[in-house]
Amino acid sequence: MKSFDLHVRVEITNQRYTIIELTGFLDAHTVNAFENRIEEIVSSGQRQIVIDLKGLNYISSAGIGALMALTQRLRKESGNMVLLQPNEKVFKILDLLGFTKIFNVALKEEDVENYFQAV
Amino acid sequence: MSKNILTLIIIILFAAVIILKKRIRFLRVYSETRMKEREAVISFLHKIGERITHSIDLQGSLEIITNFIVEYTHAESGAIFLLNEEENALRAKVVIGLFPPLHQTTEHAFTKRKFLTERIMRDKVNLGEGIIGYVAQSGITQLITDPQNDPRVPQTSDVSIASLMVAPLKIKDKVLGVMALANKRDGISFDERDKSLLESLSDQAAVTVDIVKLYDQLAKQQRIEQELRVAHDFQKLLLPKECPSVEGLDMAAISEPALEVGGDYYDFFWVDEDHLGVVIADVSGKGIPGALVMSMLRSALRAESRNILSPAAVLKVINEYIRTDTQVNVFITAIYAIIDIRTHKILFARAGHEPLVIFTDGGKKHDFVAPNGIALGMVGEDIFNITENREITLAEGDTIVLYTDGVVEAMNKASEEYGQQRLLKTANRSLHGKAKEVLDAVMADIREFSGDLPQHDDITMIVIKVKALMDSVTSRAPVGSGTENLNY
Repeated sequence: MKSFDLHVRVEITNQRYTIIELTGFLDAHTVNAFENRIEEIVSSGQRQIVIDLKGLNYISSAGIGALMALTQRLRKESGNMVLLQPNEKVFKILDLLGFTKIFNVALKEEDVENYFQAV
Repeated sequence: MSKNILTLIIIILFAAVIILKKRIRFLRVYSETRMKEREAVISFLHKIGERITHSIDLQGSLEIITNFIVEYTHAESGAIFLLNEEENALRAKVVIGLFPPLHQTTEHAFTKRKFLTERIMRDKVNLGEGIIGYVAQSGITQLITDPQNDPRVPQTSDVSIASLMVAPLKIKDKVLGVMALANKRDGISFDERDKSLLESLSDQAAVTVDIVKLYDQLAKQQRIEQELRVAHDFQKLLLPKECPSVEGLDMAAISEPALEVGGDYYDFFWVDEDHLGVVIADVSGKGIPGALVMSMLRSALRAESRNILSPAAVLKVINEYIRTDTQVNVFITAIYAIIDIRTHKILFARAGHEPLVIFTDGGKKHDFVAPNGIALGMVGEDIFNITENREITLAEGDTIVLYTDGVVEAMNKASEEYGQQRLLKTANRSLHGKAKEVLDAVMADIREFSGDLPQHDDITMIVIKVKALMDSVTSRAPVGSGTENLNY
């Protein structure tokens, strides 16, 4: 089997939220790296997070578990998480599992603002 | 003249005797040193052998090696460093006695042995850095009798260094680490004999470290393999041996676990005497934790499903079970269907699982049915409540297929997925046959599609067909029509 990578890029575009850009594969092999990065970001005080999924090619159950854990943690700490523009395949998986009903999913960049204005 | 010659001969003889005596004395000392070294190595092997027959672990072996070498060379303190290949730097693994700090320090908090040891264990030494890094890089043993004038030795007021010996732990040209000794106990400096002894012991220590490291890796790998095997066997144990025989229905099921990922599960059980429960599930965790969650699901379902005719209601209860008992990132996708065996009406709920496929009109029509629902074990009751029941009624000759993502996500060499369309097409071609034939056709097609690529996820599929009246007449008599759960 090929081994696939995940690239995580963090960007703070404005005061209100942090954008975490994921590129590649979020699965059992890469989920630890993702979680470690998230831990750094959240423990540094960031509670409003946008996960940019435009470049994410694949998400496995382990990856979805990590997103679920992050959402629950942020909600507990009065934060919020928005998933931005998952590709068709990733969206289909999220939808199949019922997670489009739980996660905030923004299909356009402009929609991201709506989720944070409410907070 | 002849007298002179005689005198010369006598002088030469005298000189020869003196030289020979010196040589003999040198040889004796040399052989004593050699003997002592041999004795030391044998005693070392004995000691390490004793330990290894007990248990082999790297840290324990390193402790024994360091202790032994410090004792045998009468050193006041010693430390063993191993090369960490990822960092390309050395890390102290064992420190005995007041070993001097590795870096120049102006702090004076290190007078206590504990602090000193802690600091050395924490510090990283790059290849080529200081005396430790020098020996690791060059592979040459160093004896330093005037450390104050050697720039490679960090100057510190915490521990006064009178003499120092550092030897590489190397096998052929590969340096595994470094053994360092500071100060001789009787106050005199280490000398060439001590250096030679340290070299002999370090050679032996290197071989030991290499073997133990290899064994350590192997043991870890074996433990993982062992765990996977146990989980596999366990998973197999949970699956039914065969499908129940029910009048009017033709059923077939298969679950082929992948080498590493295990987590697919299916089951049949009686809800009451007229209703057969069918479940297909995919647990997100793998190995033993995954198998445990699976067994929990199995018992919970069998217990909670009795006499309850709403699959969504049962899944809601199961969701709470799984949620409170597992970590947040373990979840299960499942379809739970209840078949009324008299009317062939099916009520089912989908907890985030792949849709149910239904073929009607002899395969002329098909549909992927995916009612609202969320995977088990992720969210509380308030959100899980969107999981709903859907009713379908099968007519004679109709077929339903339940499957896990391993079917549609099976990959070929070009990294393409098998996909729903190919599943539909293949199943459709063999719909006229028995349920088992549909199953076999799809499995064979997946194998053909994937070629010789290893299967990367479990593949599980259930095919249920309502027999046409003609088939029904020739079918076997029903077996499990009681309220007892089927025990396979």
